[in-house]
Amino acid sequence: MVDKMDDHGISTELSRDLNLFHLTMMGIGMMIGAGVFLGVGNAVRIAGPGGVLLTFALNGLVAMFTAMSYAELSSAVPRAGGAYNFARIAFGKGASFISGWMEWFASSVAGSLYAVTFSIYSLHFFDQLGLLDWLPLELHYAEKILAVIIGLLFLYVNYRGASETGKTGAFFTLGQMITLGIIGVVGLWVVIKDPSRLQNFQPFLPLGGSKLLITMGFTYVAFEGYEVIAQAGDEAIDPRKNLPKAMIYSIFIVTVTYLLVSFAAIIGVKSGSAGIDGPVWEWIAGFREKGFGMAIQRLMPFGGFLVTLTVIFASTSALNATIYSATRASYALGRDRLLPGMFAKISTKTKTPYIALAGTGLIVLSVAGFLPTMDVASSASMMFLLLFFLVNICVIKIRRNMGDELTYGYIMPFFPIPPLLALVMQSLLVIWMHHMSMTAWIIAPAWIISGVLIYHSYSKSRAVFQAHDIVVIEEEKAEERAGYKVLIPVANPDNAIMLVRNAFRLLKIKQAEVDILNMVRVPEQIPLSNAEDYLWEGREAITEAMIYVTTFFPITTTIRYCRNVARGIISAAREKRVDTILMGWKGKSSRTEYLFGSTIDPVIQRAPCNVLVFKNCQETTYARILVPVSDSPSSLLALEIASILVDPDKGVIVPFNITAPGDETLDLDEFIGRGTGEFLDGKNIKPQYAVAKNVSEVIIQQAADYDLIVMGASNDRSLNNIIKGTIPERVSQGCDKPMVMAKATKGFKSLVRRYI
Amino acid sequence: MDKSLFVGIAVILLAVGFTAFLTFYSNYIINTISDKKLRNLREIIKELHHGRQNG
Repeated sequence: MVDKMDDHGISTELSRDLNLFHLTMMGIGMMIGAGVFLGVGNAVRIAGPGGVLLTFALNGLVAMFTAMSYAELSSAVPRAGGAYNFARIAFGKGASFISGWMEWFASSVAGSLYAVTFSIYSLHFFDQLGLLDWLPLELHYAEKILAVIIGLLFLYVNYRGASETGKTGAFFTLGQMITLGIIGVVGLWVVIKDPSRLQNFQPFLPLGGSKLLITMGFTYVAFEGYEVIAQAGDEAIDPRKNLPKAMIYSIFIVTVTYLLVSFAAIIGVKSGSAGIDGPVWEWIAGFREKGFGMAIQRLMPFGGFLVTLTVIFASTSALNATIYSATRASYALGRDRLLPGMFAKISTKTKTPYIALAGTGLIVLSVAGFLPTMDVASSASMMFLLLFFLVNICVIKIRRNMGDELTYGYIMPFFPIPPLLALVMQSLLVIWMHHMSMTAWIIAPAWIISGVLIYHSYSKSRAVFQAHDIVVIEEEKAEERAGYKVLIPVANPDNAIMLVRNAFRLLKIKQAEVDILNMVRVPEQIPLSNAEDYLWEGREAITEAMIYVTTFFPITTTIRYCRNVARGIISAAREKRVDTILMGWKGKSSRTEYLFGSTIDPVIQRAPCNVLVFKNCQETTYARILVPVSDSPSSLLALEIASILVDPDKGVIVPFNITAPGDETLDLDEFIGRGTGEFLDGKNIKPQYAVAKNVSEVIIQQAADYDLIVMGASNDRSLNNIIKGTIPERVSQGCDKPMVMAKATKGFKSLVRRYI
Repeated sequence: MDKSLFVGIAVILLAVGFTAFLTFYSNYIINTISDKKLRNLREIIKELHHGRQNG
C-alpha cells in the first residue's frame, strides 16, 4: 500500500510480512500482560475461588463479542488505524480524531505500565536471591531506571520494522504461553492425583455473585489485544482473512489460558498444609497481587521462578505490542494530517513510521520514569473501554449504512446481538471504573478535552481525507416555502423524462416543491478535482426534466459528487427534509444479490421519507388499478398513490387482500377508512378478498386483468427477506405490468432517520 | 455441595462453550468467504444461509 506524502515527497509503503501466527501472537502478547498475574489474587479476594473462574469465563465471552466487531470491521477496512478508521467511516473525522487520540494515549501508557511491571518483578526476583546488594541506590529508583531501559530497548525493536516487531513479539509471547501452559498442565495433573484439592472451590462464591461485576471490570483490560491486531492492517499478509482470524483465535486462547492458570492457582495450595489454617482462598486472597505467585510456589517446585519468568515474558511482549499499537495510531493521525504530517514519515531503510514511534516513546518513557503509573494506567483502561464502546457502535452503523459498499472478509453471526450485549457490559464497566480510580475519571476526560481542543484549533482545517464525503457541485435553489417536497434523482435524460412524466399528477395534486437531483458517482481512484469530467450527462438529464415541470412547479436542481449514489440520495433527502423520493426501475437487477439494484435497495431500506419506485409506467393515468393490501403503512400509501394515478372519470381501484389459510382476513373497508378516505372520496373502489398459500403467485395471476399494480413495499430486513425477497418484490420481478412500489416511513424511527 | 457451585460450573461451561462455538463458527465464516471469493454483504449472507440449508 502506497502512502503519498505530498508535502514531504515521500512515497514509501509499509512491508506486508505479518502472517496469521505473528498476528495472533501479537494479540495474545498484548492481552497476557501483567493484568492476569496481578489480577488473580485480587479477584479471589473480591469474588472467591469460583468467582475468579467465572470472571475470566464471562469476560472472555464479552471480549469475544467486541472481538467479532473488530474482526468484521478490520476485514472490511484492513488499514493501519484500527478504531480510528472505523470511527472515521461511521461518524466522520471528528470522532475519528478523538478515537485515534485516545488510542495513542491508552496504548502508550499501557506500554509504560508493562515496562514498570517488568522492572519490578525482575528486580524483586534478583533481590530475593541477594544479587542486588551492591546497588548504590534504592530499589525504587532502580526500578524506574530499568523501566526506561527496557522501554528504550523495545522502541528500538519497533524501529527495526514490522517483521522484527512481529517476530520478536511472537518469540516472547510463545515463551509466556509455554510457561503458562506448564502451570496449567501441572494444575490438572495435581488435581487428578489429589482430587481432594477440589474442595478448595468450596464455598464457590463465598461473598456472593454480585462481586463478579467488580472483578470483571478489574480484569477486563486483560482482553484488549484486538486493537493491536487491527493496527497491523497495513502490514498483514492477506489481511481480510488473517486479521479477523487472529482476533478470534487470540481471545479464545487467552480465555482458556486464564481459566487454566486460575484453576491451577486455586488447587495449587493443599488445605491444612504448613501455614494454611483457614480456607485456601482466604490464604491466597491475603497476598493480594502476589497471591497468584504464592499459590504457584505451592503448586510445583520452582513455581516462584517460573512465575517470575512468565511475568518477564508477558510484560515484555505486551510492551512490544503496545508500543506497536500506539505508534500505528499516531501514524494514522499523521497520515490524514490530523496531526502534523511528519508523524506519517516512514523510514526508507526500516519502513517504520519513526517520528510516530518517537512520539510514542516520549509518552512511554516519561510515564514509566516519572509518573504514578497505576493511576494513569487506569485512565488507559477506561479509554480502552470507551474505544471498544465506540467500535461496537461503529460496527452496527457501518453494516447498516454501508454494508453494500464494503468488501468483507468476515461478518459476525447473530448480528447485531453481540455488539449490543458488549455495549451494555462496557457501560457497566466504565461506570465501575469510578470505584477503582477517581484519578482515571480526571485524567481520561482531560486527555479527551485536550484532543477536542487540538482538533478544533489544528486538525479540523487540515484533514486531507475526503474519500467518503458527498460534495455539492452545483445547486440552483427554488424559493423556499413550506409544503410537500419531492426529490427526483435522475440518472440520464431518458430516465429523467420518464420519471417526471410518471410523477406529474402526484406533483400537481400535492402542489409539490420539486428537487431534481443528479448524483455524479466518481470512482474511488479518481480524485475529486477530476469530477468535472462526469458532470455533462447530469446537466443534460436535469435540463430534460426541467422542460416538463419548470412552468408548473417550483424547482431546485442539484448536482452532487459522491462515491456511492444510494448514500448520496439518502443524504440529500435527509438534508433537504423531503417528503417523498421518486425513483425509476427498469425491471430487473443485473446483480443477483440485489432485488431492485444497488441503488434502489438501500434507498428503500434506509430513506428517511416515503419512497415511490416506478416500473414500466408510460401513462399519467390508469383505468384499472390493482392494490394488493396488507395491514401496513406502506399499503395505505399505495392506496393513496392509486387514488392519484387512477383515471378520474372511468377508473377503478381494487384493494386486494389475500390471507393464508386459517389467518384472519383484513377488513378492507375499515383499513381504507384509517387514513386514505379523503383521497379515495368519489373514486370507484371495489375491494376483493382471497385465501391462498402462495400470495405472490395469486397477485401475479390477478395482475393480468389490470393496467397498473400499486403495492406497499416491505420494511422488513430479516435474513429471510434478503434471501428470498418479500411478496411485493417477488411480484415486481414476476409481473411485466406497469407497477408502482410504495414504501412509507412512519413513526419514531422515521423521525430519528430524518433528523439525525 | 452448595448450589452456587453447580450454577457456577454450569455458567462457566456455557460461557466457554459458547466462546468456543463463536470461534469455530467465525473460522468457518472466514474460510467460506475466502474460499468462495465472496465480497458483497448480501452474497455472504445468502451463501451462509445456503450452506446451513445444505449442511
